[in-house]
Amino acid sequence: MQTTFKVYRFDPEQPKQAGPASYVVELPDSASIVDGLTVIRDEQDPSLAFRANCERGSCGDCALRVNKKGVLGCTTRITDAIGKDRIITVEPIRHVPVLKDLVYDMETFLWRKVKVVTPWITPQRAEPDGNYTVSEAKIAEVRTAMSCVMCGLCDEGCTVVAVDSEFVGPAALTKAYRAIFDPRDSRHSERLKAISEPRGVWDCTHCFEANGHCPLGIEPTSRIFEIRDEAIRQGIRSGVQNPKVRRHYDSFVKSVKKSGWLDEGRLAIESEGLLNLPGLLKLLPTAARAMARHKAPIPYLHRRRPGAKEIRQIIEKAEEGKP
Amino acid sequence: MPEYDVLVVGGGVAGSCAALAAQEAGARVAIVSKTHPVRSHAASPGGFNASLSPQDSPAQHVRDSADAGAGLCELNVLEILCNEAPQEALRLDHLGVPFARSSSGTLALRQLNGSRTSRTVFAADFTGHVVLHTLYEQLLKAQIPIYDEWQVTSLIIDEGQCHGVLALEQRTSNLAPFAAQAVILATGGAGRVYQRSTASRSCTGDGLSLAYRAGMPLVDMEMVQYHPLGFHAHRAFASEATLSEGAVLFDTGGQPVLQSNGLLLRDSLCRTIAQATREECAGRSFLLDMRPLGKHAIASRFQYLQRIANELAGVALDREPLPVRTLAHRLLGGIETKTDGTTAIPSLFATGECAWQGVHGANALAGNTLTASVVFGRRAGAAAAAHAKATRPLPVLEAIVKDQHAHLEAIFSRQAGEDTVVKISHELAAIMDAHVGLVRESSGLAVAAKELAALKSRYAQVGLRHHGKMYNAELIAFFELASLLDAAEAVITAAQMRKESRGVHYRSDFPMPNDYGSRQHTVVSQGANGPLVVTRPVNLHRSP
Repeated sequence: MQTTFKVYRFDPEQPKQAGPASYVVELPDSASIVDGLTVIRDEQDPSLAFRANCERGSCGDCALRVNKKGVLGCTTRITDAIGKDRIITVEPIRHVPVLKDLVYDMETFLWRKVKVVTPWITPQRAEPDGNYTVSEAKIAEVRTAMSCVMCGLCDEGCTVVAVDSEFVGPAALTKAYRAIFDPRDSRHSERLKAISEPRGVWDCTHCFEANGHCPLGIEPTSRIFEIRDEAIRQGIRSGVQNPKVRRHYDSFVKSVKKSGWLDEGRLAIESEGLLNLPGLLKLLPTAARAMARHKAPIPYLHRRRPGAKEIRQIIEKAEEGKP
Repeated sequence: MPEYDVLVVGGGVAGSCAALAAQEAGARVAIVSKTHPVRSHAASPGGFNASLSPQDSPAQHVRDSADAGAGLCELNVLEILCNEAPQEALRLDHLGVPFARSSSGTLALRQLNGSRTSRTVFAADFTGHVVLHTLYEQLLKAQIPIYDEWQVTSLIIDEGQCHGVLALEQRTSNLAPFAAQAVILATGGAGRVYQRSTASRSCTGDGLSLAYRAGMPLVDMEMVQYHPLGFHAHRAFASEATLSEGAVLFDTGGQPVLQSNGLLLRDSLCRTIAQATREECAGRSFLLDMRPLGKHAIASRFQYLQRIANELAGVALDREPLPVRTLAHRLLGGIETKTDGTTAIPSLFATGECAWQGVHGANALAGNTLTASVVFGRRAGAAAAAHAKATRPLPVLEAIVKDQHAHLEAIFSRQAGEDTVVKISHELAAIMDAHVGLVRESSGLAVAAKELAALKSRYAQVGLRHHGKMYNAELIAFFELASLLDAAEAVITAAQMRKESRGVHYRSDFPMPNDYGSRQHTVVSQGANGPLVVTRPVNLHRSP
């Protein structure tokens, strides 16, 4: 089938010429995006750069943005990708420095973050004596998390990575999950404490984009929730070393306890700290913009929502159960 | 110039095991790899063989492997593999490989074709993948430097010793020397000499070729293992564990192929499929029917296959059968090494798919290849570290470095003509598919040898169409093509030499094994006027 590819081109030696280039190629219906790029490179433009290795969806090398959607190029068939206009656009994934054409800087994007979560387990037993007894149900979860091919597509879709490149991100958190929930590991609570620090597990805004973007169905967002639940079960509160996170957490709970829902103005102020003048001043532009749009909540003058009493009771009940 | 005690070329399962073992033994280690370690080719979905069951023993493991190997296994080496496999399986479990568990929580075992008992620890149908990723975690823990996306272009050999390598950074096309007292080749196979193969793009025989050009012998290169359950139009394949766990293979006429035990050896199975699809109705496939396993078992034990069948072939395994064909899967031969990875050059070691130790013989027992990569990878790492400790670093000769720079410049300055690297690669793969595949015969092999010689002379003239320095894929393909041509030459030469059918090597003009006299390995080395081939008797003695 004849297919038109619009491929993003970027040569750092000629950065002004960056942009899409069109190629028309003849491909069998079974062809993948990687097959298409290969034909372009082989037959039309040998300077085209992209990564690909296994061609069967298991190495994670060919994460690309195809028709504005993050996919693995080798397992996405052209027949599935092609739009109504019969054009397939191929771009590098977002939120990552591009080195050349469709090749991007994985070190900055993901490899350094994988190191941060120290994903290697620290075995409970001194020697491999064969005496680990582990339930299949528990190890199956770890196995599914480890089926991750580290393509980075969950980070590509992440709404936090988009605005904060230092957020550890769903891919590395899935790797963290692997170690935290591995029954053979001996650093369970140490890991939970580390991952609860700023830019860790609590920076996720639970938008569920990572679940939607994972090509393997590993559900990184759900893994993040499980890490959070476990941290709460273990009584690990975030921000032990970061008072701002701690204040955010405390203010959140106080606000919901008082009115049954979140007093966002109060949360912003108390998170910065009532005596933190520079921090409070930083909030002013946002507050001004919100006011201009009639969306500024007035702190502390927060209407109690129906059922606030019951919500307060639920929180108190939960707090009683805290370790 | 980066200097290490031990330099490992390749970051896959064998290379990572070697690097970790070398560091444990006290060496300063680095990995140079043309892909990032987690992108490496890890195609052992079914599992890792180890005689962990009380009903099993290393001796039985040796017996099953030797039976599968059709008389070409070196028994003393096989004993090492089978004796060390259980401890290595436990060690992988200790490092965090998420192997499946039995109801009592201990390691679960599955039975693969060719094994008389359940002997394979596994992680659904992506065991190689999770082993690779667990080893990568260990590389991070050990803080072993990884030079990824560096293509090794030559070994630095002087006075019979290997002092390091020269490697090309893909990002910049800069050529740089790496000095080391010991170099371990763990570059994987050469599956890309075939078009119809399961091989990743990186499987271009680079290490084989580096060793071959350094004068080292390659053993049993004609032994190319085919996989019976390849996808019809893609490189993906179903684990053979599907068959031992209840899937049924139907031939083109709709008849089930396997006996009820489902344990036909993979070489026989491949020939059955190849013969039937060729003779009966070309274009029609065999069908792998997973429905007898049921939805739950498909989802929990074959989750990779379930996803990939759906995405690539558009097949929902719980509702319809998957069309399959045979695909070239891996080399069983390779650089001749001893059990500690040593080669004919004292400071050069080899391990993994590029190396031959004699454990797979003429047909690898399913589940043994991953085991061999781990067992012999670790042994090579430890031996290389010991070698480095016992020797003093030698200076890398500036002349060799200069020579390679000149070579690179010469490649860049070649003018592109009608012929291209891509054309030669495609033609090579087509020739290998047609004449050096599952079924071989004298005239076809002669055609392949002649065509190969023509391709080699074309390669000597071919220029580059693209001269950019950043991620120049054509430049990398140029180096890889040299490796592919060397690997193909060794396969063809050895296949011509072996005038019998044995294991995976089937000659239609010599359809029976030659069991008169002693069984022989083929040994190919590079001569001044082309490849030299001799035979050598198989060592059938067990260790004392």
